[in-house]
Amino acid sequence: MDLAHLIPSYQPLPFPLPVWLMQTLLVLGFYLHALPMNVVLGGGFISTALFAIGRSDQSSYAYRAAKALAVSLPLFISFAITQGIVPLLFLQLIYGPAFYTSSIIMAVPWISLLLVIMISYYLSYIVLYRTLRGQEGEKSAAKASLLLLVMSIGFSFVAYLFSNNMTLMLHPEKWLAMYEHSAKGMNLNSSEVTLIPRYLHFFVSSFAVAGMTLGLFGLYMSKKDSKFSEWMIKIGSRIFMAATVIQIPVGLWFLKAIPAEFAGNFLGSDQIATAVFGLSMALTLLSICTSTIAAGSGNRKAFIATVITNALLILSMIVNRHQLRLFHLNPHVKPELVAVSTQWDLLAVFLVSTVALIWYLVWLSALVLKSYQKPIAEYATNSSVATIGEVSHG
Amino acid sequence: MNYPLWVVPDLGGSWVIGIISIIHIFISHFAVGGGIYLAFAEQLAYKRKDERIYNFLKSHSRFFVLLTTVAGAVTGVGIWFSVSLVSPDGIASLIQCFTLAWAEEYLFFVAELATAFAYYYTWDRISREQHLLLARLYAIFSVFTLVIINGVLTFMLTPGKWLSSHWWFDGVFNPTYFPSLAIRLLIMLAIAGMYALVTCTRIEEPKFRTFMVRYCAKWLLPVFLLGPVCMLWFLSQVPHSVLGTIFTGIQNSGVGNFSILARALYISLVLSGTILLFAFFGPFLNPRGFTFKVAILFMICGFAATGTTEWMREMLRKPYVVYNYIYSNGIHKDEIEKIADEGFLHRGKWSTALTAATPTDEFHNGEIVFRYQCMACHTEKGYRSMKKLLGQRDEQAIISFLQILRERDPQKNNYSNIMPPLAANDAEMKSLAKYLASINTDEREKNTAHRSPASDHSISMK
Repeated sequence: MDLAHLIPSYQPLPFPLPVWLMQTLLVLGFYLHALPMNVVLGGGFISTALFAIGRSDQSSYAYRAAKALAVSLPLFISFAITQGIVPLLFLQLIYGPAFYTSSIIMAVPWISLLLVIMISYYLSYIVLYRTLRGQEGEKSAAKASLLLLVMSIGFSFVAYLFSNNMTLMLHPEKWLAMYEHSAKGMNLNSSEVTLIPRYLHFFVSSFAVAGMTLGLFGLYMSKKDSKFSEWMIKIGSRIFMAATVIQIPVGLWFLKAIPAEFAGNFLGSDQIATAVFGLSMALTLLSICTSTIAAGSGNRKAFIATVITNALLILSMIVNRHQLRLFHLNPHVKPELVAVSTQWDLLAVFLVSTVALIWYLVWLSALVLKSYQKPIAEYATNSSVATIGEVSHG
Repeated sequence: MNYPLWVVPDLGGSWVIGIISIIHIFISHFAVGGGIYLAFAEQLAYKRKDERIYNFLKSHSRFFVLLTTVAGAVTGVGIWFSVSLVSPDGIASLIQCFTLAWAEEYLFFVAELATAFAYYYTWDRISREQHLLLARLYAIFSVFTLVIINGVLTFMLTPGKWLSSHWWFDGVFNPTYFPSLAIRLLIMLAIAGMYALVTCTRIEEPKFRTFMVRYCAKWLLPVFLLGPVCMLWFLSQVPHSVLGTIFTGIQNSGVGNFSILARALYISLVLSGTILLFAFFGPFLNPRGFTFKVAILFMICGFAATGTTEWMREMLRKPYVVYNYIYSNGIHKDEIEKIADEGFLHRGKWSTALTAATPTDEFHNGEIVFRYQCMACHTEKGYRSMKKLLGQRDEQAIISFLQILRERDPQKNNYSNIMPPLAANDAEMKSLAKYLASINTDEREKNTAHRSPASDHSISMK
């Protein structure tokens, strides 16, 4: 059957923004989602391991680092979910005909991921408010380690389902047979040859990003406890370096698994794809060099250089990922043929609001971070309550 | 027809959305109303110079943050997931119209969440003046998420001028926008009060508990006083045919063809009335006797009232996803006539693909028509079961009934207010009848002895 007959039509309405702008927002939105999502996925496993290592000594660096990560996880989970809204919105808008279809075909596992996310999310809070509350000891550390492991397995499963859907939407040729196999949505794209290398490529990178996060915690701690800070930077950089080195064979496996024509596009046939891919490779090598220095000496400058290189590397890899999607979908899904009627008025409101939001978040972060530099204020006395009361009613 | 259709046996796709939505609505209304509550209660603590209120709010806010940031956020995304699976054409239309409105809501949502965390993590760490500011900012941001999403929700029932202009502004600020906003805000305050009543009953000191229980009960009063007025305002803005559906339902309750909507209305009113009377005679007049268990019962009543009311709101919109534009089964209103002439199965991408290999298999074609035109609301043997609704009708009786459903003139088709007209040519209608007749075989066989010819083709919707 001609695949064009299986690609659902767009709605008989114009797009509210030009396609290039929507694609840019899709890529940037996914970038902002991928960062916290990676911290959660890799951070959960790393925290599990560090709790297990430092369980007998609560003053050990391993235990303290595990706790720092575990305490921050609920926040990162929240960021990851919130930031997921933007790429999901634009994915549906631009590539809806492919994405809605693949989601329906694997509807049951797809919708079940909500429950898994919720359970994993609450587990992170249980660790924070139950396990790490009160008297901490070997038992509570072991329990935290176990709960975080369950949480991380949950999130790994969510990632697996995402990889399934993101690959299934690229293969219209599989859709009809799968839907006829189960119209109830009991399908997975597990026979996909790129599934495992693609999944691993993301999974391993989450360790690299979580390693960076650990190092960043170290950087934040540098004035309070310089030795612990140095240890965190070293360990974080080591994790990053190891994960990035492992990425090389995994990445090659992924490159080999995708259709030869598309691999060729990244290796010279398509100028832009090749340039971005080349940049990714250069940044990978650079980040391995800088992280090696930071891992050995705990050098802060080398670590900061790694953080910046890694931030750029992730962005260029995400552009590569988007290009791969375009190579797959270009023959079938054609958003550029949909009429565009740009909503300039709303776009202006949106841009102004974005700037205002960034300004607000900077102010808010400064307020919170500053408050944590100081010891907890003593409970305000009645007289100070009175002062505020007068202020708010004066 | 454009997309493959997700078959959800027994429950039906609409309930997958329904279950997630009801949970989300109950939590998200709390997120907004609760924000306003926290800001006012914190101000009360400072005004009364009462450390106990301050300390109560600290523990209440943890419960608040845990519930809204986790379950609230995940079920919010969940509605989106479920609607995409059940009604892809409907959500695609909405997204295409309101992309930037949604993007704007996302910005407020980010601000809301960030503020919630900052607020929760800075108790005793920043000045009380700053903390109160955070509480107020949170309340403002969360109200703004409602201000935006309310536009999309009400658009579906009353798209108003958008139908001709296709301008987002007409869609968002549609006829029911303001009354609906007012009603939702009132309900949010009431839900915030109900949640806070639960945490208040955990306060140990009797005198303080009594004070707080009475304070929380007051949050249910605005909806009691202003709710009916806002509801009348809302009803004055909905299409006449919708009002007709409600009142026909009420008059024919128990025997009418749409009595279920009237019943839902009764349940919603009875539950809401019970809560309000309960709030007045319980926590407000007699705060001392108000216990944790009663507070939980209160919440269950509130949950049931929210569920029923939202379900009713969805029912009012029947048979459309977007009123007068796109039907609940994803077919655009202006396509119906063409489909009746040219046929349905070859019109959509997936309906064509699914029947291409078996063009003469009537039974299979009938099943595909059933999936696309009926399964948005019905299941074979579960929720709104076709087996039950068809009763003992044989294939011929079913065809006669389908002929009524195919009529576009409301005079000839008295289901036109609640069901989309059947969009099919003669052959497809016969195929559908063949398939439907296979669903109620048991019913027919069971009652062969007592069977009488079906002279009345109406189907009871009890």
